[in-house]
Amino acid sequence: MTGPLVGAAFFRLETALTHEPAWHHARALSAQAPSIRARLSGLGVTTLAGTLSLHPALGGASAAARAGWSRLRGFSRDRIEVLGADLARDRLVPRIGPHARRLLDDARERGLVLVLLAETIRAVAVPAAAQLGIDAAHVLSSELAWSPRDEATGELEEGAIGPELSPAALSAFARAHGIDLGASAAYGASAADAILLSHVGQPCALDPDAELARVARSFGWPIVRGLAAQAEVSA
Amino acid sequence: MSSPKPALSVRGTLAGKHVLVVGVTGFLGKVLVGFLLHAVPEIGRITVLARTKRLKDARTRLRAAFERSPAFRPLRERHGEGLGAFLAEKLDVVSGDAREPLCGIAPRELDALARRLDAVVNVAGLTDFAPDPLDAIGVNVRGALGAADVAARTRHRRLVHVSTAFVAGAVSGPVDESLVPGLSPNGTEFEPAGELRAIQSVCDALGRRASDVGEARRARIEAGTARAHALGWPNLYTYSKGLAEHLLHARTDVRVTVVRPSIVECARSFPFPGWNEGLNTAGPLVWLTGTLHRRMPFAPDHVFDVVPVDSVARATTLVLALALADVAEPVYHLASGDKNPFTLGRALDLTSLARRRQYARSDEPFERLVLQHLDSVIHGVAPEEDPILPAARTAARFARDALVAFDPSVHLPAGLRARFGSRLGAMAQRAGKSLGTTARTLGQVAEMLRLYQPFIFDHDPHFRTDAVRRAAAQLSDEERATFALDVESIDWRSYWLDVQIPGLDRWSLPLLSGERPPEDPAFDLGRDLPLLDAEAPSVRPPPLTSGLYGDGGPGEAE
Repeated sequence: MTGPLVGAAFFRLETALTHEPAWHHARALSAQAPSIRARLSGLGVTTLAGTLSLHPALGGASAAARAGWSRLRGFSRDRIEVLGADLARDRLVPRIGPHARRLLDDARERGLVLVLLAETIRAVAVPAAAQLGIDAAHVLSSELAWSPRDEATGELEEGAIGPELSPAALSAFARAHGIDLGASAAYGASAADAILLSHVGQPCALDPDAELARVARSFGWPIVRGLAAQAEVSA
Repeated sequence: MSSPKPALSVRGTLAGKHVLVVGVTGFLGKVLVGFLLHAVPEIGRITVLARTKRLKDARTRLRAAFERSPAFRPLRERHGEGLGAFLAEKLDVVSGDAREPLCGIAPRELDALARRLDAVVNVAGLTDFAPDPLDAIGVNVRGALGAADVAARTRHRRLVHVSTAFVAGAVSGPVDESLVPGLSPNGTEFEPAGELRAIQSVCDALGRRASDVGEARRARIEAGTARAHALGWPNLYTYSKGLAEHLLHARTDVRVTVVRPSIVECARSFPFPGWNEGLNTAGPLVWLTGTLHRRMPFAPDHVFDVVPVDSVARATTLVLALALADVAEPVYHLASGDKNPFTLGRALDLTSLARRRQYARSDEPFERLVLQHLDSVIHGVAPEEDPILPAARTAARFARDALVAFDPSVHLPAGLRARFGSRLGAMAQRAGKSLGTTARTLGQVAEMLRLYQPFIFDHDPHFRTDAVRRAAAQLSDEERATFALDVESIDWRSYWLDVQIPGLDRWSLPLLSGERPPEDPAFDLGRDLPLLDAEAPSVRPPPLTSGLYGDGGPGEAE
């Protein structure tokens, strides 16, 4: 992309903004299969997977999310995108507290391009972004794979966004959108966000877990606390 | 390099022309007349035919429609207090009846129309799937022939006849825009005039034989439906429309152009998004998904060929212009399936999603907590082979009978009778009544599925729309944007969720519970609609300068 580079503000949907892991979205969507049997099955599998996610040795939250997305196999694109939009509107966006919204507004006022990073699927992330005034082109999220009949296969497309955003993916996105990472901000909350924060000029840890807090202190990154409580109050 | 001049101008062709519209009081008729007056104000005059109904004469009925019907809202908004004057200039009313010979128009008015008309447009139709054949023949066959007879008396002998794409019958696969005269959908040779005489004769005989009116009607419907099936039409509606086309095709005294819309549903934009009137095809199916019966015997990949009513109005206007320019092809399909197919499976999924959204916001706990989670599911079995529905109906009736027959004085021991007898008795009666309603609803569902089976399960016709696309290609970009069949641009998800379902909920489904849809706020035209003035001299249209671009061409031969 040619032209002057611009600064961006990267926000992690699940950690910095809503404090709700992607596998919760998978569970919510899989519980809305057309048939009751499929619904109960999806709910059971994703809940079990979510519980197991507490054990990192079993793959953590990311594995739980994948297990959940697999339950969407056979869902039509209509069903996933309509329910995804409803989930974003009714559950995700209301979880974003006033301080987090202020960060979004501040970034916008500073002329930064807002970018939403999401481990969740595009059908949820894009409508959430739209409600936050973030362009769909600036959403980096996972995407379901679709069959020729426009039904979810249960798999994610290659390049799915995990808890850790790969430096290569980040650089590629920045190049494609003319973003100067050095002039960009990023907001994260978990240890997995350390890579993202370490690649921008203005990192910020929001309600960091212990590991990210330690890293933030060691690098002198600003730490902001209290947003998670606001998110729970807002939800 | 400049683009080639369009070969046809719809506005130019319609400018100054006088057309008779039969069927203005119907769903499509209102939208078509409203669209003509709104999009082609250059049109010379539209004479609309209506009959007296419930002691209201044609003029009074139509004035009420222009004042209150939502279908004419754009005209009221555009012209305001000036609408009365505009209609006085562009429209007049003739009293008649589409079921009568020559549409029941009095001889004096008929002579006046014969001198003035440039074309007759017949939009009248009885769209019930299982009507009394006497009514179906009366409106769909004799009405079409009457319109043709009127057209035959005019200078130009032009008739644009609105039929249905489903005259194709019980077929699957591509359906061409053609008619093989005297050959029914299943390949049976028949003689159309003889067929009309025969079905009339059978209906008359059954009427004489029956002991009461109801029995006569049922017998006629059974016989007519059997005859339709024998020829390859799925029901009396398509049979009567098909028979009409065959009879019109045989006419040599009138130039007939046939328009065959598929399933006509809610407007996308004109008169406004969601407008619908009456219970058309999708309404009962959408209603079905809201009943207790959740297993839908649909073939999920079959095309559900929906076309918005304003798309039909646009394209019918284009076809009318082609007919007036004497360049029309014989048949035009107005359908969506060949260029932008929408499937039954998708329609069902989106309907379920729409209902979920509604129930999620409902104040009723039962809707929010229970109904929201009861999606309809595809059940890949033909309705007639599904044992669940008849079993459920039988169970509901059995339980109803048992509850209604419950008598505490007989069925309860003395001790319980004294304490709970009257309360239990009342509960049993209420529950019995409710189950009776359930049994009736299941019966309606079963009947509906039986009527719809050819369309939702058995057959999958794909109507070709090459003719109307060839026509639209002749237009300027501006006119194509207004008059082309615009179905490729339909985003089915958005249309179904944001236009069709809300439209049906507001304008059509209330009819099922006996409610009348809302009318627009009171508006006063300030004057009566003019009646056709049989004495006025014929007003010749202005010389044709822009009906056809280019040299030569038929033009107006006066």
